[in-house]
Amino acid sequence: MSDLHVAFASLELRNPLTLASGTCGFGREVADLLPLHELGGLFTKAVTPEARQGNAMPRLAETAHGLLNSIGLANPGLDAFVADKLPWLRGCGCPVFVNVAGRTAEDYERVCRRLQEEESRAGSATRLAGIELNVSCPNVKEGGISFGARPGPLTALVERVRGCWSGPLFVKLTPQVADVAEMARAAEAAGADGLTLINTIPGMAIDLKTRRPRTITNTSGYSGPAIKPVALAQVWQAARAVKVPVIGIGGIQHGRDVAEFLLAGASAVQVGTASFAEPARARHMVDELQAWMEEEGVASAAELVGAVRPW
Amino acid sequence: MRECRPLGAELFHVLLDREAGDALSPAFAAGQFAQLAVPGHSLPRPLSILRCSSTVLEFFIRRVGSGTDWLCGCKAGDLIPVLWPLGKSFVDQLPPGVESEELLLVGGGVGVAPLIAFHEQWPGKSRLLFGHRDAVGAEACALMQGACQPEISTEDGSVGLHGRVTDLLSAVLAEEAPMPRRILCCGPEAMMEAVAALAARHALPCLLSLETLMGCGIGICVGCAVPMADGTMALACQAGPVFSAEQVVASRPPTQTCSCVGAKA
Repeated sequence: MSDLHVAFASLELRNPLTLASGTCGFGREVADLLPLHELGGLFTKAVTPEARQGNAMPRLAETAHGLLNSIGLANPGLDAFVADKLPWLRGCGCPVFVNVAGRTAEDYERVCRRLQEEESRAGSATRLAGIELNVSCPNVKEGGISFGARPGPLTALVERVRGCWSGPLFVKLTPQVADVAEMARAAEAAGADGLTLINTIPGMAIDLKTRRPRTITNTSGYSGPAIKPVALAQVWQAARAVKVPVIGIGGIQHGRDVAEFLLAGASAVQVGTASFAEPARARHMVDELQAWMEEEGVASAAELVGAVRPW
Repeated sequence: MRECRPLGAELFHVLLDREAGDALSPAFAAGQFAQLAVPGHSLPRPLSILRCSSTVLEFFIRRVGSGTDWLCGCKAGDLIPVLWPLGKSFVDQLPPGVESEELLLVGGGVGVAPLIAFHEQWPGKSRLLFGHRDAVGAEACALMQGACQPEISTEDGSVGLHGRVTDLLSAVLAEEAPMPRRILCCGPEAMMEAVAALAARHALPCLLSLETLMGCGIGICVGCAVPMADGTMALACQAGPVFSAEQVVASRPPTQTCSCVGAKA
């Protein structure tokens, strides 16, 4: 049997398959549909200090090769997350990463500081695996992308959060920058333990009958198989620029896609849009990856990381 | 896929063989839906369940886009991943102690499916009013409705009352003899709005099975938020698709085009 374990900042995951933020709720929603403890981890829906209802409808538009979404960071807010979601997550049997978003640096700090306080009360066996800072949501006016678009604000934000959160800290970057390597280096220098690439790409679809954009924000985040080549390129560029691990995400649908991301330099991957059509897809990918590795005679997933042979 | 029987005018009776080990529980309550995964599509298609036995799951659908087009092109034996039963049913949203005699079931087009299901699961004296575009729609429905005996309207006047189902409803509500005390409704959005308005005018509680653009169907994509009258948003896939008419805000975006909780594309 090939060994699927991967090293991941200070963690070791049983396999590289995790569920992406915004596509698995707070875990409980999918717990009956796939065995969470057989995955590498899960990333929660973004948590903001205040409860958010999200954007008006329509929020989703399916396109030929992907999906546009304009959810708008709908979430119950920090207090409700800590009271209603966190206790269950602590016992769900899989490493949990809390995705954090905000309008201002204070917002991020508030959420992370609170999570740090909660951690000090939790037993070591049920601690969170880490925080993922969302500095790349394209769907709200101040969704953090203002922090993720330039190195200066990104550095300031990561340093600030680093000051109040001692656990593993990941930064989810946007592909909408001229030089992703520069952003990756900025996040690493500011104290990030890892990077997640990529968030959705702004896209648009128009209804010819009504002449209306098909999502309420006119442009919205594009995901799914269409963006996989973009994501792979960004992961490859970022992974070469930094020493911290990179988590790859974007259009992953099959175990072979996972292998591609590992080769490009990702230490783990997140499955997002694919879970909508088939909630247990990520779990099936574990088996698909294993089968591919055995076919190829690959002994361990770790040895695939960054093993692409560039021209 | 067991069989996809064309009924004319883009209407189909879809029968799926159930596999041992269905993902969720084997029973369903009328108003609940199933999600059918479509190859090459990011989102599954939500279809209101017409009927289910221990071996077969049935749907009454209209072909409206690439997803239902694929489904209607499936051959016997094709495998279709299905997640069901999902969402809140009519019974979930009814107060306890309701008798079927009190109920008026109002359906339009393929939106009759959950109402037929309701009538079969809760047989009794509830009255059914079904509206169709034309004789083809009415005949297709007649093949689906089993023992139901609905009063019918068609927009072209070919069968039953010439007009819309809301005309039928108005006539029923104008009758003197025992008034229904509650309406259950599923159909095109404009029809449901008209039915809800009529219900409100007669101070009758009304349940609507919303046709809402839906994503995952299980609450993880958060794509089907419906504005509630109290200013909050509720997910149609979890809090619905059956809502009470007073709960939901009347005006929804004009991009939602088709029938019942069923497929939009």
